[in-house]
Amino acid sequence: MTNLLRATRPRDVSVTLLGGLWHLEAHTAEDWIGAIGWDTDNLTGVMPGLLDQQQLETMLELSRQVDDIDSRWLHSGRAAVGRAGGRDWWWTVNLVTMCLQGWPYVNGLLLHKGIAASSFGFPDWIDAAYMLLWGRSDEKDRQALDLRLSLPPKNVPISGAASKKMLAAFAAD
Amino acid sequence: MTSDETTFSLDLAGRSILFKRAKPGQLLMLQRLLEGLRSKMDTAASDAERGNLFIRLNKHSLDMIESLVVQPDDVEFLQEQMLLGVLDVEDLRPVLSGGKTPEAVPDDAPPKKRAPRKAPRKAAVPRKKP
Repeated sequence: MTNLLRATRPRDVSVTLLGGLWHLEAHTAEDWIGAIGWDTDNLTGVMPGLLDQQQLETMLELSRQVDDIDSRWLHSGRAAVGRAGGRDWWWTVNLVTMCLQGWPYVNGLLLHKGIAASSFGFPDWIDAAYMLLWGRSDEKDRQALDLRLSLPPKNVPISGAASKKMLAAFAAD
Repeated sequence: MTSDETTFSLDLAGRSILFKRAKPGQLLMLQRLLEGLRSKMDTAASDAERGNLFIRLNKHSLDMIESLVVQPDDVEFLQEQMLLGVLDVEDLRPVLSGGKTPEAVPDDAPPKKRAPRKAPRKAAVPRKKP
């Protein structure tokens, strides 16, 4: 079946690392939000945190043999978040961090609209959370929100295409 | 217990053991793995299954000792204590929290006294004229 949305925002996310394919065990938005929130800087809650029990044993053994495993996990964790959210990974991490900072408020408002993180898929929840923040802001705050979401963390090199996109968004603002 | 950025020491089976700090991702995996195996053991359908899980649990504990203990003598000592049953996986729990143990309160410690309540401040009353 050809489905653009499923291709760009897959329900099941896997990453390639150390020559193997690793399946992440996250089915709902809650799984992803919790995993990202566990460690928003290094995303250890995503990778290796979301590996299933069987893969954990293999990864644990491999991690003792690979010196730079931390940075490999970080890169694959970022790739996984990008794939799961269907947007740049830093945009997704920024949005989740922002929502977690005011979780009872954001989650409460979304629940009132029938959007439960425990039953919605991650990309749908992201769309809803973004529209909630965007819809409750005035024009000036919307620009600030978009700018804040599109800023990658310090010391993170981003691709030329992504930086052009950011500059274009900034110029449009 | 002493500690710095890369190592910490713990008293186990009457001996002070120096441990390397594991990577946060490794600690997370170990915690999940050991908890998963332990909960599977609780619900195992047969003795054979329980025995198999016990072997895997012990293997991971021994691997953890081997990879995190600094002194080879201590590795041997701890592995021996595990095999003898003097130590078990529960005793290694502080290793998973990077050497942090819950603050111990001695049995004979006097109960903490409540700070005396401050008397409410009296509202200023204008002085009576003599």
